Amino acid sequence: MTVAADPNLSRYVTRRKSRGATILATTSGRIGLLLSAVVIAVLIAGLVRGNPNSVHIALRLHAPSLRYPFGTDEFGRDELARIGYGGLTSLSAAALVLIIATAAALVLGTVAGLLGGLLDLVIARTVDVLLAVPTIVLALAVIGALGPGFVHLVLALSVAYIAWFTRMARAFALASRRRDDVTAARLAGVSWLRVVCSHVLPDVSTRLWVVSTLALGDIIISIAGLSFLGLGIQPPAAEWGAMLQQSLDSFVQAPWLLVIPGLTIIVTVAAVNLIADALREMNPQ
Amino acid sequence: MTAGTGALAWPGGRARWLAAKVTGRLGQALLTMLGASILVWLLFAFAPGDPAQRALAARGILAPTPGELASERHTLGLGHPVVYRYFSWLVGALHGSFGRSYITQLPVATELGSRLAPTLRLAAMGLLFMIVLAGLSGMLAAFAANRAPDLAIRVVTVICAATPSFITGLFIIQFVVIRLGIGQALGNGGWADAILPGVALGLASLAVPARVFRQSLIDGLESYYALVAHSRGASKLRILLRHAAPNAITPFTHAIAVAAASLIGGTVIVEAVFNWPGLGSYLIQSVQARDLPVVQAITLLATASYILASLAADLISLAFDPHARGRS
Repeated sequence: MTVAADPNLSRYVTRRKSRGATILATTSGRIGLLLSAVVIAVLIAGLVRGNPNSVHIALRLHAPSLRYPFGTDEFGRDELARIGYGGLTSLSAAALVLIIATAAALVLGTVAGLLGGLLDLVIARTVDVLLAVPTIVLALAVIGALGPGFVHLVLALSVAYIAWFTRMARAFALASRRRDDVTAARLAGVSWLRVVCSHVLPDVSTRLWVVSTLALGDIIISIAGLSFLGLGIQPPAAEWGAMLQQSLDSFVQAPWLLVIPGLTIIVTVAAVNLIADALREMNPQ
Repeated sequence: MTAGTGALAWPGGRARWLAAKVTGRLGQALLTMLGASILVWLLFAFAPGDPAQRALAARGILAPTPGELASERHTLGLGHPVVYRYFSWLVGALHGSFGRSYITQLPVATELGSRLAPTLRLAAMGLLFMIVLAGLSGMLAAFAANRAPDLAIRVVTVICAATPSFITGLFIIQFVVIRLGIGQALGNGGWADAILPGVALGLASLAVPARVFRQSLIDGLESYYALVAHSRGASKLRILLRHAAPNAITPFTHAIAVAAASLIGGTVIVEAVFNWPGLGSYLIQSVQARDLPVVQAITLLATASYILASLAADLISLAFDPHARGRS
């Protein structure tokens, strides 16, 4: 007995592709992966060069050469090692902000979207108000209230991005509530809590991660900007934005101290943005 | 709004419908502003540590006597209930008084007043470059969609989106000001000096508006009305300018309003890069010195300017959007 082929069959069968293969299918994904490979190679090359804070006054302001591919700064510190360690600091701060803000937004947005009522009203209005404060200004205000430093920087930027992510999580939760699998599970008598945990949350979190990744480039820029202002990660710790600030002391004689951290930030952010674009193309909302 | 509440179905016709929409939007902006004032006030009222001690520390008195502390608490009005303190601050702010700087002891408003104009000049210059560059590149990209100019523009916008304005500013100072000797790195706040930092601001925020404008124009060019115009012999340029552009203005305006938020944020850091005598560099100095009344006032001003920008964008698109004019 043969079963008549259902013309809609392909719509019911979810095709699973491996994530890497699909990223490579888009031009932006291919260029993004290429750029991120370059960034990772530079980071590793920097990290294996040893202490980024070891000072050699005799070698100060050494132009880029074979021995020092990125030159040395005004204290004779190896710029490549500082780019490597600085990248580790900048990128881990950015990753922390992304994870904290996304996780908090997942909870707040889902709660607001599912429970509705007064709680939803309060969360949604607070989000509207927070979104009206420009990101950097909000982060500066939080740092003004708390004081500078790595932890406060991460906290300030998390607060600045939570509002944006919460608004999206709330919209996804509202849409998720109307999905067929949620209705089916509720009709089958599955408890509310279990429906939320095994149907709504996974759906909302997948969609939220895709859109929050789009903000990662912006987060990296904000961290570099605040550290450039001396309000984020404090010297002598290596950090890309702080390196740009230090380059101002000698950038007429040593333009590479400005150009190299600057280009590193640009290439990293371009790589992250392109990969995020490719991820979004893969998961159209 | 539900179906049938467009201008045609509204009692009193288009004028009253428009008036109702504008009033509603104004009310929304006022409520957001009120909410922002509460939020900003709470952030600083409940910042960790004793406000009186902080105020004294900002003036260099690190180990105050109990008498100094008590008199400072009295000056700051810390004895009053929270709600009273908020409203007295709000009433002051509405009268243009934001308290006194912890450091100079001068009213915050006098400092702000002299720094407002340079910042507005810089932001206007950045906005101008953003709108002109995004508009031109979006139009060119749509006109030559998927051909060489479009691809070149796409590459350039990806690079612009990845380059924060303060890095563009630093590169401009290094290569244009110092190597070529054009312009200056120590801005005096005038229009001519605003050009270079304005370029840095405009370049950093043009990517999204350009992309949105290009896509809306392409949607217009592929529509049936474009086909009709084409079959009547209109040139592609005419279709683009006469038929596609008016419909693309609404999404373009909204993209500009969103980009304006990042432009306002970018202004803060670009001011520091160019030593611009504006609110941004004052904000940064005050954050570094933890002069909270100043930080509070500038945060509120930046928020107000963003709320005004998005209000203006909504009103402009209301004026241009054919849907808003006819049925909703």
